[in-house]
Amino acid sequence: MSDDILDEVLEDVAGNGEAPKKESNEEAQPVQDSQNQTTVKIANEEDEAVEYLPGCGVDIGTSNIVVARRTKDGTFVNRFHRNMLYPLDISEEAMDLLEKSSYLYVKVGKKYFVVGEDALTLVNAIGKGEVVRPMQDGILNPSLQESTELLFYIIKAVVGDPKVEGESLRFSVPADPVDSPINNKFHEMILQNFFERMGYDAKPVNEAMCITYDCNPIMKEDEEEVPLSGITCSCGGGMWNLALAYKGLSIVEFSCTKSGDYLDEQVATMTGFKKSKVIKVKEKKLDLGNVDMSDRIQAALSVYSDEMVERMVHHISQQFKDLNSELDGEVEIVVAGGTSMAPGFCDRLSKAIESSELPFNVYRVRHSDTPFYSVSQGACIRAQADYSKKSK
Amino acid sequence: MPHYIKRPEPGRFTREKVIEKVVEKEPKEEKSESLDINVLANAVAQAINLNLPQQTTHIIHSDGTLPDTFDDSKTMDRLADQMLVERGNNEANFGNLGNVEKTKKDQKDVDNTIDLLTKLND
Repeated sequence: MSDDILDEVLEDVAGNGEAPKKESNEEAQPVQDSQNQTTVKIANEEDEAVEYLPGCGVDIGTSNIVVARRTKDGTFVNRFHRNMLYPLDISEEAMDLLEKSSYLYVKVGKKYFVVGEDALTLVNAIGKGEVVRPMQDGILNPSLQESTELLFYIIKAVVGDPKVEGESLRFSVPADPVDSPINNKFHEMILQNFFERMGYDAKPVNEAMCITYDCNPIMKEDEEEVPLSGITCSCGGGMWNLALAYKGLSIVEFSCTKSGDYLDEQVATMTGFKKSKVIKVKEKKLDLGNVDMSDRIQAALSVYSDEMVERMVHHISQQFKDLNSELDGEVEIVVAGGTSMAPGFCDRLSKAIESSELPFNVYRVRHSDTPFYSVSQGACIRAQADYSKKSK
Repeated sequence: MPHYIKRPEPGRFTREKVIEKVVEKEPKEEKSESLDINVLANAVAQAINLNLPQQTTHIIHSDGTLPDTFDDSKTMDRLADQMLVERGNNEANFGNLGNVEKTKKDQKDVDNTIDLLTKLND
């Protein structure tokens, strides 16, 4: 980064930006209430005392890390952090910038990494370089040497310590993709070891199955409604994950790496705009029900969104044909995840499904009420079931 | 009777010795293309209850190898553990991260799901 640019940024940030609110957790002790339910009282700045039920869900996505806990009154408390970094070489200018701003950073080796939303703000302000991610295609980014150390710093700061000793935790993992030889076993083992070192009783859970637990899709079979049965799809940044469940059990799981990030990259390449600019337009302006075709980025995003939806339908059809799965009932498809949040995304998927020949009947495509939090909430529900099982 | 040895007159009855060229023939090996020697070897081993060594099983006259059945999960585990070692002096200017958003769901539905999941295995 040149000195001039840094000086400009320094002027911009000096005095701006508020320090992030920090929660101060007191020592928590589990107590049994009148309904024989274990709760943990946590004091923080926002609430005087929050009573959490033991069991924590973590959605470790390529774009975001989301942690969910449930309180005694049924509220989900979701803490989210954008999984993004902006690297700065150690220099006097860089140190000056970090001292005068409120940007959050980690120093690993010979580099500073500005973390989270600040990384995107900084890269857009500087207009040079690109944000990097500790994760890529749903797993640890192999091209970033410091990825594990950075990711653990971030995860630890977002998840926090266990609320009770050996608290159950479920973290989301992707299924093996159909379009890449990636094996996620090693990624899963690293995360499990990490959470166990933090003091959690941690287990992995399939990302798409988390949506099944959170959104409860219904299959209609012989005029009966079967709960926790149907197809769920998590459209994340690095991957989209899909699962077919029957009564809470996973029957088929697979994923594909051509999701949100792929969209951004393709649009950036085809239009010549920076990826960070594409992300900004996608998140702030894009409405797939009413695309502004005069905007080149929006027009390209619309084309690639169609491609993504068509690819999803193609793979659903292909996977179920290959497996000779026979579904007698009518299926509900539930969609969640950050990439599904562009208005009109589900309508496009619905239309693509209507015009295709799937080996089963679909009676509805539903968008999760809380698309950004469904994976973490589902993982939390699964973790609370684990804790409940353990306590019996 | 004297024993005469008939000798051909010079120039008559001469025969050229025919020398046949020796043609080298490769021994014929009867091989069925559909026959997989690995499968056959495994089937025989199984039939006679033979415990084949698991890591380095060579099958003579075959390009095929038996799959490596060595359990590498311990190596993976050790490697995963090594990844968690902090190298060098790292520092951060934050203790905790992230923004908080609360959502509400039907508590009865969530409790029913938890009940159902409690009955399931991993």
